[in-house]
Amino acid sequence: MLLPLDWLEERLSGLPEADVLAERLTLAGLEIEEVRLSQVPAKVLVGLVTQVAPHPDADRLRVCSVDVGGENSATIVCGAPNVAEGQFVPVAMPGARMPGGMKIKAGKLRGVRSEGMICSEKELDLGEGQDGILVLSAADFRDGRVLVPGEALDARLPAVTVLDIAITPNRGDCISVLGIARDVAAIFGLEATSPTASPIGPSSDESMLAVSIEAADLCSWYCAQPFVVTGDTTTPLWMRRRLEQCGVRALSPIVDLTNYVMLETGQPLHAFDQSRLSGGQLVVRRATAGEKMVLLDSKEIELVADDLVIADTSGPVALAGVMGGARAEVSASTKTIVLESGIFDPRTVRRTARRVGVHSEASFRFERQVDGQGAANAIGVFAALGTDLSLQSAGSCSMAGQKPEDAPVISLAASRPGQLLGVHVPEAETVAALEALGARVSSADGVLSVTPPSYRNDWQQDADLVEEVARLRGFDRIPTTLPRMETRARRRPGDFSNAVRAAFCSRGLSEALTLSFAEAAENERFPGIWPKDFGSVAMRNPLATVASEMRRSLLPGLLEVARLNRSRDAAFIPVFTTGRIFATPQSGAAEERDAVAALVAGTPPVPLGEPSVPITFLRWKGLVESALEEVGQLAVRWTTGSLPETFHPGQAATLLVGERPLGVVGALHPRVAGELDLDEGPVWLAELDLNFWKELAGGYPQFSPLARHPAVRRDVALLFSAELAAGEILEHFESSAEALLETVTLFDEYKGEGVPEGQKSLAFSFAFRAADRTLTDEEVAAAQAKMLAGLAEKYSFELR
Amino acid sequence: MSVGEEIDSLERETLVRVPTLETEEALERLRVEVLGRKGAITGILRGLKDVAPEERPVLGDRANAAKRALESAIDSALLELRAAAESIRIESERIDVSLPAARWPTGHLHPLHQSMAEAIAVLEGMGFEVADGPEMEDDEHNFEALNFAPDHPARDMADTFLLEDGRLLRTHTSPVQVREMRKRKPPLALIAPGATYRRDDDATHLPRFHQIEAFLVDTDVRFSDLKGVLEEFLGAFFGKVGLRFRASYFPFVEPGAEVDIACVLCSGAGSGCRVCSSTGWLEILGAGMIHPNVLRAVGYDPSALSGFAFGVGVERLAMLRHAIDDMRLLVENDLRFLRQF
Repeated sequence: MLLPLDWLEERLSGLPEADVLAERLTLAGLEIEEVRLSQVPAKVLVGLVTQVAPHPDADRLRVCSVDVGGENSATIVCGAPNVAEGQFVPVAMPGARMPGGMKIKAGKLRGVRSEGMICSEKELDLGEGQDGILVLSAADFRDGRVLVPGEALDARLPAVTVLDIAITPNRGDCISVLGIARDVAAIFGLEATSPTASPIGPSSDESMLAVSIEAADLCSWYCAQPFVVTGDTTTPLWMRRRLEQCGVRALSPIVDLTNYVMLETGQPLHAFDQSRLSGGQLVVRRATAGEKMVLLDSKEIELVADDLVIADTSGPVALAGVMGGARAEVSASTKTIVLESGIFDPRTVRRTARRVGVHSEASFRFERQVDGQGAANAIGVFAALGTDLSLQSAGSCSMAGQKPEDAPVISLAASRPGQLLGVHVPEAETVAALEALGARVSSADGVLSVTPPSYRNDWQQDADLVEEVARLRGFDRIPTTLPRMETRARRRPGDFSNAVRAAFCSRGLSEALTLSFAEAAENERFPGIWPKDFGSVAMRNPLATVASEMRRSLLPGLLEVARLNRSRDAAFIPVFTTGRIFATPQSGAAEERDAVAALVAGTPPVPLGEPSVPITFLRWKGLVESALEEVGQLAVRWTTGSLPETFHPGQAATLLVGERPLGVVGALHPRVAGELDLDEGPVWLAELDLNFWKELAGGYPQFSPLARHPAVRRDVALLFSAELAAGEILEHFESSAEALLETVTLFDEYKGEGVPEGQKSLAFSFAFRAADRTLTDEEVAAAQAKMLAGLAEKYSFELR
Repeated sequence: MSVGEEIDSLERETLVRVPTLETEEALERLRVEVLGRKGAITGILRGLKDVAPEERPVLGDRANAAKRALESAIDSALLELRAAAESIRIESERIDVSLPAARWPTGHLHPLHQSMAEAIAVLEGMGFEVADGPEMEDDEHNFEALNFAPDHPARDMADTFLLEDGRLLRTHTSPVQVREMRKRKPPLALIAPGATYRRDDDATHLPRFHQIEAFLVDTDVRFSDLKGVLEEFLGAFFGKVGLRFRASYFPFVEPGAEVDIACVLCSGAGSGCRVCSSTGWLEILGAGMIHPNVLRAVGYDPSALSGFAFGVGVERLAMLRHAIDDMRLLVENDLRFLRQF
């Protein structure tokens, strides 16, 4: 909220310096986001136009003689059509620097010397204003003094400090000059006064208008006061300037005054043109679903049954608390208005405002709750100020509902503030603080009974009152203590993913941080480690700048990292990331899991003069395997089944533990790599299910005794069908029941000369060992023969 | 030639031959030829049995002396040869050590995770325990139980991503507070680190960011305890640093405060500082005493229990620590950035 300090000063005296005020308000919860100065430039004088003559050389320009207080009149060339003799106008004299930065100089305009500039409202940054120059009158100034040619405009419109205050959503009471004044008064021990209000209330006169409330749960009190327009008038400059300083555009006297009173009291008002209301009555009611109305901003909306409207006999004329309707809009020809001041349900106003997308000054205040007892008073303030704007209250105020009762008493143990804050707070201090904030407090048996002021809707229970005591006292006056903490041994759940991250990091991969969103197409392409029938998780309200679904896989994000770094000429891109992935089962709620993914593209750096060593599938597989071994001593099966289409069908594998997939490792499909502009050499990818990995990785390595007797090695080369997966044979040997076999290694795969077409040679090295003796040749030969016999039962092969 | 002359001449001739030999093998052959079991000196020593007994000791000494002299000559020639070979080898292997190296591959952990890990470690050291929760949450855990009433403007404080199934992406890690309090009994001292989401995407907001929420619930927790814990925590993370508590509003705490630290760049001096926009202070976290409505929502009795909670943005911690001036760098993942940390 923007708050001009001279306005605040009207509500209380003894205000401290602006920087002290800003600091204390910030500490007390009214954060000052900006302090700015609103001022008219120096060297702008009040001038009296004494003569207007046509310009000899330009139809649109006029040559004016302007009395600016000196002995001689100033000659000023002016292009505004509304300049006329006898007007008081603001004149920027040579040397004046305008708000836009322009410096005024004397000079010739189409051959005629001009000694300054007659200014428009906009040029002085006072507001949007009318077309043409600003014409001044005594009524434009708060003091009402007659204008004197040659007086400085900034003497009549002094510079004003404007605070920009961030109002938290709980402080509906502070969205007004009066509200801030009350808080400032409580903080600094000052007295805030309410603005002058003319007495308003139902009288015995016959009312011009019948008002009623049909939706009593959504509107507690509704007041409507007719006013007649007694003359032709404009909003005085001082008021327009304040509206402008508060960020509200000046429009017309009636609208300006409703806004002014709202800014001052916090109670939104709305004026209807009475001649455009039908039936002489206003009803506050729920809308009928499907009912239509046109708002002041010309937008046509369709109402729902939850909306609250003000209606006459022809239908809605205002969307309660949000915006008036176009049908009864006030205009320049309006002769009588009906001024509405109502207390509307915050939730209803908020829902409607959000649904129709209209966020007005009124809805902002109603959503945060206005002073429930303030409706009639705001009309009184309007009436008091209205006389200067030719607005005269006519007849009595029509009311429906009633002024609400005081809020229920809140009980506060006198010891509670001290207990919760950790510092002794004397009862007298608590009472003084709450009373300063407008509460009525009585004390009995160590319990305070606190009646909140009608504008503090946020006070609901004792903790709310403790906060008031704390913020008025200042948090710096609460000591620091250390709490009693339980000493307990704990497992650290983060250790596992930290270990996995460390494993990839220590293999030379850097950690990337990618966002959790993915485009639908990316999710389709990279379905991740989810079961095949899982769908993607879509957002209802995605941001335009980010993708519209939750990622199923970490890989699209890493590929984007690769693309970015490739486009920035990185030759070698080794990255990994961990994070959550999302998918939805056929039935049931969407699920999330943790995953780790890694990507390497390009060639690792080699020393000068040495040949580069590209990453191959087996090197990539080795990296993944060594990470799996480091964290959890995991052994996996590398299978070629059920590969996503984005992987190279010949250089990728699904990792299985038992029959359950742990992840996918391999090369990006060359076609996809081409589409992604990542086709300078293979892109190696891996994505693993971190939750599953963690399940598998439990336990600690168990020690095996170190062998004391030598191992005996035997190498054997075998011919198999070329299609057979070498890993299958290796696995067969590894799971052999042969007790003497210690390890088996596949050390060569060969196809070509010497091996028949359609076959391949696999060379294995067996290590045989017994724990208690050195093996004899016979024992070893027998063991090997047994192993080959076992192999022959399952596979067809030949010894090479 | 007498035996004595024989010895002399052998010694002389051999000493002349030694320096002419250019390989270790040749020297070893010479050693065998002269000093070996079947060598010349051995032959002479064996022949002593034929000389007069009174000459034997003299000639024996003489032969042994010659043997030692020749051994020593051959040994030192060998050493010289080896030294020469070694220096040739070393010269041939000499490289320019100032040439650029190929670095052993080194990975870097993301600065955000480094700060996250350290903040967690500090808090764990103080006795807080890590808890985890889902990133897809429901309205009840993310808002209602945390005292965000439906249709209350407090909900505007966090513009929320809604999911098709009616749930939402958590806007803070505070729902973990609700889940853990419902699961367990006080005293509870927990931290909930993790990713959070808001529908903001501009120079200073990422749609996904990270938070660590900490909370303590016990029979007599006071605001002064919150101040003490924050002073310890922020002091451990940033070094001793001034703190400022400002009254503020978060629906799930009452009293609530925003906490500023003295600017890490200008140390609170303010004027002209680009990090703190001349205020001297940096907003670092939100905190407060857990709202009685939150305690009630999880089935606790606010008249018997109290607690504090605070939540800190990890991006902010990492940026301040490493003087990173653009939040978007954290998710851009330029390797030149990642490798700086």
